[in-house]
Amino acid sequence: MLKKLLKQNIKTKGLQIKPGLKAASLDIAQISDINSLVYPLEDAKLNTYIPTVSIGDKVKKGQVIAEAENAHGLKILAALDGVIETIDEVKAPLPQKITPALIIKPDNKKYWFDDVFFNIDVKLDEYPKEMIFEKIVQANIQGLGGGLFLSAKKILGSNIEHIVLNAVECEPILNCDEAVLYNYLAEVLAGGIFLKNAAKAKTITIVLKENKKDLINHISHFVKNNEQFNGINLATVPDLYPSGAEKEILKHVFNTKLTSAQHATDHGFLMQNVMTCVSIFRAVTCDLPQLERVFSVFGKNIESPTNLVAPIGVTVEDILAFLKIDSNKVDSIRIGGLMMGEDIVKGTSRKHSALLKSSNGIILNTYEDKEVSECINCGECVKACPVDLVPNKMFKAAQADDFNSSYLKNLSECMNCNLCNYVCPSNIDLVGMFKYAKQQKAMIQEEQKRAEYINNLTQKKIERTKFEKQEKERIKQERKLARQKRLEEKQKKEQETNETTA
Amino acid sequence: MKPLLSLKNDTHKIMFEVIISLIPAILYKVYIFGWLGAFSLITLIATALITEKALSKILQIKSDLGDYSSLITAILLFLALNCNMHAFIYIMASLVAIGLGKIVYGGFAKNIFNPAMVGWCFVMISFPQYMTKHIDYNNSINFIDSLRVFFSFYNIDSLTQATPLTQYKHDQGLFDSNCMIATLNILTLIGGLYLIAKRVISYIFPLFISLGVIVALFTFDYELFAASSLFFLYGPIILAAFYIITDPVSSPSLVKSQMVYSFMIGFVSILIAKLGVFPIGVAFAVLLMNSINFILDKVFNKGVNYETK
Amino acid sequence: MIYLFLLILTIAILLLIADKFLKTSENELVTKINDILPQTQCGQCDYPGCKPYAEAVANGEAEINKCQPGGERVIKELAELLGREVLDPAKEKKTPQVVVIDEDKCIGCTKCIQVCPPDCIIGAVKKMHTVVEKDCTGCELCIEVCPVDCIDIVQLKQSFKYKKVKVNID
Repeated sequence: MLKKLLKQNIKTKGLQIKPGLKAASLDIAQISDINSLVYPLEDAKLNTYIPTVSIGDKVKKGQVIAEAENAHGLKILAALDGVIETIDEVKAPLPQKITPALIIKPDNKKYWFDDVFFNIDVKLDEYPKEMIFEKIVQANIQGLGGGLFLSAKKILGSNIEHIVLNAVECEPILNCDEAVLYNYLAEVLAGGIFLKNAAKAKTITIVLKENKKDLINHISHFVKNNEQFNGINLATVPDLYPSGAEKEILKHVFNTKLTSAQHATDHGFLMQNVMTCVSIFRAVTCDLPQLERVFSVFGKNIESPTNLVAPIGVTVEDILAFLKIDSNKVDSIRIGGLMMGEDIVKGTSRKHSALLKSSNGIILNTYEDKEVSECINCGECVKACPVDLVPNKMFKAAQADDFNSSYLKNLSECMNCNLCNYVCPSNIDLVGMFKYAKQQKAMIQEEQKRAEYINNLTQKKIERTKFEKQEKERIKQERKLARQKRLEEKQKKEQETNETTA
Repeated sequence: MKPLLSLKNDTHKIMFEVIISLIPAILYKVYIFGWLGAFSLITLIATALITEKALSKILQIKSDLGDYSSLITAILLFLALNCNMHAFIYIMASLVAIGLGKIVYGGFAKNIFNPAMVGWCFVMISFPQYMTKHIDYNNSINFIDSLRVFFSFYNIDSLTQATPLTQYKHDQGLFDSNCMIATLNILTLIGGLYLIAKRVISYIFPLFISLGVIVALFTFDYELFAASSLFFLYGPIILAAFYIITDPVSSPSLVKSQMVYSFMIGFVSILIAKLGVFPIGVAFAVLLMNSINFILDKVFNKGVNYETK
Repeated sequence: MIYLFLLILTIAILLLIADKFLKTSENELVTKINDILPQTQCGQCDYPGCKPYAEAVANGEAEINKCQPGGERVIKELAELLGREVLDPAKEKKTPQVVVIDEDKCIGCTKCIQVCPPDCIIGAVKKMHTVVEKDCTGCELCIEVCPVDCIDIVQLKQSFKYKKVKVNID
């Protein structure tokens, strides 16, 4: 009792956001017709990819078609058999920018879903942990919560004790995680157990939102009735945005605070999105690569919002066609959640805007052009900030390019949750400025590091040339001396020979 | 790119809310001062708007009268000033408030000091003989007479007497039972409470300024402390607490610094009144604290201090 | 009158002494300026390196806006340090670039090696040279000295940059 009370004392800061849009139904529909698959060669995390195939190549389902340039082990896999149509020619719209893309023309329009379901007779503990790890690497499994971290890397983290399955979809309206839990609960839990075995962890905890009572009952019932899943814990977080962020969950549920430089794995936690667990389950039991994801489609004036499962790379045009939504009536497309997602650049072709691995939602018709006015220092953003920053002052410091300001000292704590933008009465894009400031700060640091490095090289060269000169002179003098010696010896010899002859 | 979602409040609506909450107080003040009140209000507002428009055009600053900020400044000046003065004084007050208090810093939301208080202090220092005198509340002066009073200096003295607070300063313990100021203050208080209910202003400001005033009275003037409720009722503290120190532009944005800021304003204003020549020093205290609110924010900004186990 | 004269004299002497003792030594200033400069040693300021330019700035011989790779940041910091006015950059900041040697054309004259400030060209006499791309600052110093024009500039791919958010749209 006392523990519970103490736990409640840790305040989770945040807001309840109710935008008044219709939420999608919890059934998951499967997309059928696919005209083309588009893979942007850059992702939301600013990684760039280099294609490993060339135009006209035939690719098979699950084949690697591009690898990350910065060598994080990230790959892009083809989701269908087909032919590479173009590379680099077409620009695919991503949030905020347009990037070159790789387009696959599938041989067969129909997409075959490998729906693998959990079989009670399978003993999960019998899978050896080396095999699980290998298969996770092979299947190129990335966190589908949005972070796109490689699951295999997370497992390698030292001393992992707790597996946390994150089903807190704190973005308003979005409910694809909930849908996954209703439809694939056994698979999620099995994936969790695989993770636990692979990382040699002790506990598994599913974290949910407080207000989803039905789902909580459903899960606890299921866990009780299945022997294999006994011992899986349930935890809840308040129905606030952004309580689903990794740090917020650890703070609220596990009473662990992370600094900006730390990851959950540094504290012995391995957090995975529930959808990733399904991918892991499929990869381990049936060798299936991670090709699909579940996402919500909703928006203003959309009568039947749906949760869809589709291969990554499917175009927005195909999605709209499948849902029988008139493409002409759609003004804006937002990829991601209502709060943290971003609009794709206006006026770009919908044929080439693709479903990304990190996009948990496609939101239509919600763009509003708002008049921006001067910051009146009202302090709403200061009250709203979940990590206790001072957004209004930070904005002013960044505006003046004063990156050494004390307000920007903790900039890296900002997790782009957009709450300050949400409450701002002047409609200022504070987070956009913080993204700029973060990049600038990093660039300045890099510049300084490089300057130091280059300076070091230059000093070395100066020393080297000096040394070379000295050496040259020394050798010259040595040679001179040697020549003189030789001359003297010659003379001596001549004298000697003269003397002897004489 | 802006997020699509945002709350449905915007800056203009907040400002509009402030004006709405002030309407009862304005109407009552116009009522008790009759034509003189109406003239001073119109002069202040007209001067403020014209100054803003003209100066921003000359200095090429983007300005929008629709943000109501200069209107609010004029209204606050009207509530803070007496209504027995010459038109010239009102024009100067408004001109200085908008010109020196706001436009020179670059326009709306860039000022350091509260513009209304800049204007008030200017006339207080320039024309103290008018500021410390008070008119007999008399709304029976007719239109022509009011006009004559408003545009000439000659018969103001015959109409004025000292304010209750000045009187108190000279003749301690004697409170004029002038309930009109009290009514005005109560109307202002109601407006302020409306703003708190609407979440336009924070309750921290009135709470801590009152605390500051009470502490200062306790240390400097115990007798007045005993009658502090009357002091609040007759003094300018209520107007300052709800409308002047809550001005978001010139106040700090962290809760802790807001507490210190408003407490210090309450304390310093009593200090000035006790040690200085002016009967009340709220405006001076506000300007003083305005100048250090950036420092306050910096002092209390510690950011996130995540402790690691 | 004499007193006044004496007073002025003493003040003058005091000022002289103060000037001698309280002046920041030039060396200190030079190192401070040198720390601000990006140390690419590119010579695009018409001085042979960063340090000579820093000396020139400290002596008041050079403007503070000549450092091309440093851009606006360096100008700002120098202006702050020296109490001078912030100037517009004398040359526009170039996009990041490196040089590449056309290895078929290279005759192995080692001229570029001698001139390269961070020493990032590898090669020997009458042997083909090559550029270590990681260390190249793109200063273009080697292009002029090459007798066979075998050095080309290659623009580096730039990653996505966030734009500064504007509030006042005048």
